[in-house]
Amino acid sequence: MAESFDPKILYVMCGWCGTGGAETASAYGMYYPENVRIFRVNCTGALSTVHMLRPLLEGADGLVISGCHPGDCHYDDGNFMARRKVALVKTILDSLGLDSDRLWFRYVAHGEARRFVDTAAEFTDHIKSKGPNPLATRSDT
Amino acid sequence: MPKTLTVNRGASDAVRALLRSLIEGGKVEGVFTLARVNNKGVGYALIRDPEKIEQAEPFYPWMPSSGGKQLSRLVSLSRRPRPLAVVLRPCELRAFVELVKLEQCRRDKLVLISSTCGGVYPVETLSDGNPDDRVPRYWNGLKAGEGQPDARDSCRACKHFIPYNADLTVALVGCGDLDEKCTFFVNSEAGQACLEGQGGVWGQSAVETEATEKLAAARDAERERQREELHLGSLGIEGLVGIFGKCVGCRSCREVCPICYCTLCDFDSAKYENEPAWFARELNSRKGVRVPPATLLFQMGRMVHMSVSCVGCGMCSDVCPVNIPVATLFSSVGEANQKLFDYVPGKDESQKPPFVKAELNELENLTV
Repeated sequence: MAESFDPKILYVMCGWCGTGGAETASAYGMYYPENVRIFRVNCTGALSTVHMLRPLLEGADGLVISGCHPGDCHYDDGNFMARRKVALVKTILDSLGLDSDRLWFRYVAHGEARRFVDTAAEFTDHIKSKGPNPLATRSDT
Repeated sequence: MPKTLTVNRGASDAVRALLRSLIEGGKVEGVFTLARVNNKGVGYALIRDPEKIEQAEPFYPWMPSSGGKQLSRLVSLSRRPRPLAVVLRPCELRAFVELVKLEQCRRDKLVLISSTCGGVYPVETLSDGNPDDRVPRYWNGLKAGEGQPDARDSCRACKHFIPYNADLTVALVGCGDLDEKCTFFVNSEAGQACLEGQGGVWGQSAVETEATEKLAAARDAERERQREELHLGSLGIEGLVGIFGKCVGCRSCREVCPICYCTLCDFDSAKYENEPAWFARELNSRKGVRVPPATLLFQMGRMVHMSVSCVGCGMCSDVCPVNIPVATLFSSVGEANQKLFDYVPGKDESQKPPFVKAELNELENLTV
C-alpha cells in the first residue's frame, strides 16, 4: 500500500524568487514530481496563516513554502514575515499535538532551479515516508 | 516605587467619590465603568450625571463583557477633545492596550484606573439566584489575598492580576482594611493630576506585596493543574475532535473575544460559503462531512489569528453554550506563541505586536 501512496503536495511560491526557480528549472528541462501542485503568491509574506492551515486540514498531505533568501525580498521583509507566520502555525500544531513536520519553509532563489527541483523531490519523499495526512480524510473535523 | 494616596473610605466608595469629583470638577467628560442595571446585575456604562455615579460598581466581581473591547469601540481612531475616566480590570486593560497597538483605538485622553484583581465569577452565575449574595464572600477572599474556588477558570489561573499601563492602581488583593481604607498607586502624571485636591495621606510604596506574591504562586500552581488536566501536548486529532466535536458553531467565543476585532471575520467571508460541488468533492475524498463544516479550521484559524495577543480574560469559555474549555485551550496555545516571540500582550505599549514587524536574525532553525 505504501508504494502506491501518491501524496498531495501544495508548493506555495513567492512570485519573485521561488517561481523564478521553477521557471529556470523548466528552461533547463528539469523534472519535479507530478504530485506537487504549485501555487504562486506575490510574496510569501502575503500568505495568510489560515492559508497555511487550511490545506493541512482539508486534504493536502504536505505544504511547502519557498520564500526569497534573507535580504533578497522584493518587499524588504516579506520572507521574514512569512517565517514568523510559519513559526506561529508550527507552534500551534506542536502545542496541540499535531504533526508540524508536514509544513516546510525553505529559501529558493530565482536562479536556483536545482534547489527547487530537489526541494520538491525531497519533500515528496519526506511526506511519502510519513504516510497520508490523517486529518485529510477525517469526516468529523 | 510609586507615590500612593490613602483615603479613609472603602475601595468602591473611594473610587466612586473620585469619579464623581472628576466629573464635577470638569476634569473628565464622563466615566466608563461597570454600573448597576435596574438594581440587578451589572453592565458597562458611560456616565456623566454625577448622581448616577452612585450606581457605579467599579469592582463588582463579574465581567459581563470585556471592558477593553467595549471601550475600544467608544474611543475609535478620531481624536476626542476631552478626557474620559475609565475603570477596567487588568485583563481588560491589557486587551485595550493590545487593541491600541493593533490600531483599533486611541490611548490618549483617557485616565485608566485599574486594580489588583481577585478574579470574577462566571457570567452565568449573574442570573443564578441573587448575585449580591456572593459579593461579601468575594470581598472577604480579597482581604485574605485569596481567589474564589468558583471563579472563572481563567481567573483562577491568571498571573497578570497586577495591572500594566494603568494611570492609577487601586490595591485590593490582600488589603485587610478594604472596607475602611483605599490606597491609590500613582503610575503617571495623568493619574497624579486626577488625585490633586483629593483628601488623604500621601506616601510611597510598591503594589507588589507578600499577599500578591502568594496569590501569584497559587495561581501558577492552578494554571499548571489546568494544563495537565487538558493534556494539551498530547491532544492530537482525536483529542481535538473530542473537545471541539460538540461545538455548535455559534461563534460566541469570537463575538466576545476582545482581540477578535474584525468587522468581517475571515470565517464569515464568501470563501466558506460552500457550493454543492464542494460537498460532492468532500464526500468523495472523506466519505462524509461534519455539519456545520470546518469547525476545527475555525477554531485553529482563530488561534492563528488572535492567540499571540490572547490576554486570557476567559470571556470565550464563559459564553460557550456547550462548555468547551476554550479559554484554557487558547491561552495555553497563546502562551506558547507569546513565548516564541517573547511577547506579553498588553504589557509594553511600545513593543510592537509580532506580526507588525519581523526581524532579520531570528527563527533561524525554522528553515529546512
